[in-house]
Amino acid sequence: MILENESNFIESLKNKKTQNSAFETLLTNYKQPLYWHIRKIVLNHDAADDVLQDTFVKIFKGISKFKGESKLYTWMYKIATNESLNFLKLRAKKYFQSSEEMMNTLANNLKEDPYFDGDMVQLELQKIISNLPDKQKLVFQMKYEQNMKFNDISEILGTSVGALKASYHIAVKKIKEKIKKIQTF
Amino acid sequence: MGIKKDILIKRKGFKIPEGYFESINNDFFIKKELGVKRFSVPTNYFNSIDKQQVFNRIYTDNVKYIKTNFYRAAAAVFIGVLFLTNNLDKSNNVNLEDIIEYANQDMLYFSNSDLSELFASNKLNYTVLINDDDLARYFIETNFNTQEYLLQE
Repeated sequence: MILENESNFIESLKNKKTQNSAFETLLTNYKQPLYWHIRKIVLNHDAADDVLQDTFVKIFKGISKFKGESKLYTWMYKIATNESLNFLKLRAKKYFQSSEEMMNTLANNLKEDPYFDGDMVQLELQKIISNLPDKQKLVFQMKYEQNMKFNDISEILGTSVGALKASYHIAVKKIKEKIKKIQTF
Repeated sequence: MGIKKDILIKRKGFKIPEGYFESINNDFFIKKELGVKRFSVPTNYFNSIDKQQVFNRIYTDNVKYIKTNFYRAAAAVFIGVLFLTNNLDKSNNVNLEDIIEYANQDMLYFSNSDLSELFASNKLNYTVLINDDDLARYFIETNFNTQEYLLQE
């Protein structure tokens, strides 16, 4: 996922002459991983598509200000995470009483979603994940589903590795317990 | 100092197997049983995403931004002009002739109480305003029956 010679690539993204082709490369390399990252947060395909485009717009506009203090891909994941969370926050404000109510509705809607392929247990798993606190949910999705390193997750979420490990451990414990309950019924 | 030492000893007493948090992902029973692929996308969705789509969005966003700011600026200018035309040089627009004309056309209404307030009694000298000749002429012209009035009183 990490591009070779990242600093040169960033320079070509900042340079007006090479910007277009470099952006195309960036899009080709990152559209899928960023889409899946967003999709796991917002759950719905149309919403994920909308947020993905907004994310790339932000990346394109913001690349000139990128100082290279973090890896390019963690910077982009940070933008994607913030865009997704902002999208959910706005939607909750507009259409729901609380973000919990919204997440429950979104998870329940997956039953009728043509782009959700999971069975009943997977649907239940998604409901459990959706009801986790934001940080636990994000760290679980990034570690468990995307196999990301704790150091990278720490850069993206701006939380210490120790705290992330603790959040992940709690999230796993909660999910295990709830899945066990469902499977015994 | 002693307590701090105790806490340190106790903290060091807890250990986890090496690489525990890294391995928790791999032998996790949920992953084995449930898998991670629950979501799908429309056919050829990822092929449809290209830089032109993103550039179009940037262009649309810019147009939207310009439009919004243009309307805001236009509204601000309109309010400013309206304020200036209503408040500046107002005194020059109305002259004395206009006021007299307005009053002469009976468009100005004063009630009895308004008039009494306007002409406070201590400020007026009635003798100057109405002399005896005018009063006599008034009685003659209106056929004033003084007797009748005197009788009634």
